[in-house]
Parts: sequence; C-alpha cells; structure tokens
Amino acid sequence: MTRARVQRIVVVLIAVVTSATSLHAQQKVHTAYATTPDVSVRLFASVGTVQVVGWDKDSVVVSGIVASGSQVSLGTPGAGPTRGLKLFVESPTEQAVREGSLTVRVPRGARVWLKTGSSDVTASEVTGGLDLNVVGGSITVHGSPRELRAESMDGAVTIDGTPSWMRVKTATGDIALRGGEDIGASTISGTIDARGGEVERVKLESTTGAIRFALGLTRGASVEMETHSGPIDVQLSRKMPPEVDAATVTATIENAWSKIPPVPGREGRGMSLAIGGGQMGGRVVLRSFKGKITLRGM
Amino acid sequence: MSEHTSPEDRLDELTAELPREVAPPPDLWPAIRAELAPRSGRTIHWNPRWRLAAAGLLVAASSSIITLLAVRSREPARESSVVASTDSAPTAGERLPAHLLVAERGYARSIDALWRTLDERRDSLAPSTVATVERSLRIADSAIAEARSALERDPANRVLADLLVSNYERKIDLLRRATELAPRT
Repeated sequence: MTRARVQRIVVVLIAVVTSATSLHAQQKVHTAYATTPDVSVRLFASVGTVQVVGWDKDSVVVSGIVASGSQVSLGTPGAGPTRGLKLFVESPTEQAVREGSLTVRVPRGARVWLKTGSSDVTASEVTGGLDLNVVGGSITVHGSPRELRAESMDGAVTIDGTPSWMRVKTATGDIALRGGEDIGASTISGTIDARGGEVERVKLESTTGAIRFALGLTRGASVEMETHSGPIDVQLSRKMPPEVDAATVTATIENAWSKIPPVPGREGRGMSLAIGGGQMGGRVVLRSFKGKITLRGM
Repeated sequence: MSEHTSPEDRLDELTAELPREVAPPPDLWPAIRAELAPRSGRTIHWNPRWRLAAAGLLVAASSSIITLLAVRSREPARESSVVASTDSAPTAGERLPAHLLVAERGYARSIDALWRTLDERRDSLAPSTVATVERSLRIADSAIAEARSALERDPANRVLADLLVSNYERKIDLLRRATELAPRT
C-alpha cells in the first residue's frame, strides 16, 4: 500500500466519522440584550423544549443548545436598551426539531410571542403578555400574565395561574386552567378541566371533548359552557347560588346541585333547567346538543 | 257654479273653496303627541347607517346560499384533497331560518378561502399535522351536519341555532390556525 493511498484512506475515515458525529452534534447558543422592561420579544424556535422565564432584570438572555446545522438568527446586541427583539432558530431537518432546548429570560413585564412546531413550552413568572403557539408540543404556563393566548393543535395546554385575560385553543389537546378574570377556552376533541380558582367571565366550548368546571364565581360572574357531544360536569356553590340556564337538544340533564328538576324538552327530546339565583351569584349558561349535563355542589 | 261644468271642474271648484289649513282643536295635540312619541323613539334605530347595514346584509344574503351549498357539496371530497370551487348550485337549506342562511353564507365563504390557503400550504406541513387537522375537521363537519339536520327539523329552536353557529366558528378557527402554522410543523 503506497503512502498516498494510506493518506487517502485516513482522510476518508475522518470525513465519515466527522459527518456521523455531526448528525447528533449540537451547537451552543448564548446571547444577551439590554432591553426596556416592557420589551416585545418575537421568537420562532424549532427545538425540543423552550423555557420562557421572567426575571427582575431589564435584559433578555437566550441560552441553550440547538441541533447542529440549525439556522440561528439572534440579532446583534445594540448599544442601548431595545424595545423589540426578533429571534429565530430553525432546525436543519424534520427529525431534528425535537432536539435541543432553549431558555429565554425576559423582563417580567415583557410581551413574548413564541411560535414553535413540536416543542414543549414552559413559561413562568411573566406578568406582561404571552402569545404561545405550538403544534405538537405542550404548553405550560406558571404565574399570571396580564394577557395570555395559548394555541396548540394536539398538545396539552396547562395554565396554573390566573391571567387577567386568557384565550386557549386546541384541536385535540387537553386544556387545564385555574380561572382568571376574562377566560376563554375552546377545543374540538380535547377535554377542558377548569378547577382550583375563581373566575369572573368564562366561556368554555368543545365539539366532542368533556368539560369539567369547578371554579368559584366572583360576584356577578358570567359563565358559559357549550358542547356538541362532550359531557359537561359543573360544580357550583350552594352558598352563593348563581342563576342557571341549561338546555340540551337530545341529552339528559342531571341536577344534583339543587332540588329543582330539569324538564323534558319539546317532543320529549332533550331537557332544560332554569334556576333563579341570588343577584350576586352570577349567571351560568349551559348548552349541549347531545352531551349530558351534570350539576353538582362544591 | 254653471250647469255645464264638467265633473273635474266641479271638483276643482269645491276643493278651491276649502280652507288651506285646518288647525286641530287644542286639546287634541297632547293625545297625538303621546301617540307619536314612542314611534319616534323606535325609528331612531333606522338611521341611515342601520339602513345601509341592512341593505348590505340583504345583498350578502342574496348570493350566500350559492357559496354555502357549493362548499357543502364538495366537503366530502376534501378529506383527501382540497379543491376550491364555487360553481355548484344551491340544493338545500330552505328550511333554515333566513338569518342563519345569511350567516351560513358568510361561514361558507370563509371556509372556502381558508381551505384554498390550507391546500396551497399542505405540502409544507408535517404529515402528522395535516392528519391532526383533517381529523379535527371531520369531527367539526360531523357536528355541523348533525346540528344542521336537527335545525332543519326544528327551525325555531334557538339553542340548536346557537350550537350550529358555534360549530361553524370552531371549524373556521381551526382552519385559520392551520393556515397560520409554520412550515414543516
């Protein structure tokens, strides 16, 4: 074997090993920006997990690991505090979208817009605004942002704070929330589980998913729940009873909350239930095509 | 008056003798005002803006059925492939309340446009995402069909009407979100 031939083999071997390694290699990301306390951050991140953390500094720091070969556009930190940032991380292949993780630290009062594919997103300690959009991953929000919009196709959405304004939407993903001031949640076939807190105005709707409601109502609260075929299970206070207006097209209504029985609908199909409440107890409207409605005390 | 005067001239003469104005007795005005007051309160709702809005709705209604039924007629085919078309003729819907037919037309136009956009972007989305969207749309369509069919049998049922509208809105919202998904997601 000639020396030149040996060198050629060695070069080829190195190339093979390098390329094989790069398939699983990851690259580090770290950048920091001075910002205003209410900075607006737009982030498109195609990585496995994204954490958004609010902190008491007027700066945004992005750090983590992304798949090697990812397109990363994190801008250049400027001289003074910036009011807006656009950050972009795209994975090199469809298989690599679940690789890597990013942590984005933002001022608590920041407004964060985040769009990802199949990332699992967690946001905590942000009191400004959150607009989170995923397809296959999950969304978890800790704390109580002033405004929260969370949309997922088939990932679960869990909100364990009480935002002032919140809209959650999924296609098949389950939704769990704990209340707030002005709340809306909608799903096609996921479930909606609302329990553990209080609510002022809420509208929960599903096509086939089950809706479970066990939130306290503030004075004069407005509650609407609507489904096509999912069951609706509602727990209400007996101490401060709201007015209840429930109706189904073909399903039954079971009232284990008060002694007033539901009445059969026209032509014997469906049921309705009307219960007058105290003026301070708010109003609960329940509508279902063929999902059973159950009222219970809490 | 002459004996040879024609009936038309005679009528003219008689009307010319009538006083130009007849003031109503003073004690009648309070009663008339009392009758008129509530009516003028109601007419305030028909200011020019409202009339324009009503006219717009009427125009929209006149063509809505065509679009709606065009979309309805081809929805089954869309499960595998989305092809937009608006040349189908109306074939159903006569039994729904008029205001719902108008609303349905608006929904149908939105759905049509969103379907076209989604179809254009279909190749850029992950197959699993497309599958999720299509599965959810089938659920939404099934609910719409069921509520609509029930409403045709019971057009006065307001609960049903509200449920049908909500089903449409959820479907449109799902389509909108699907069209806004990032490539390869």
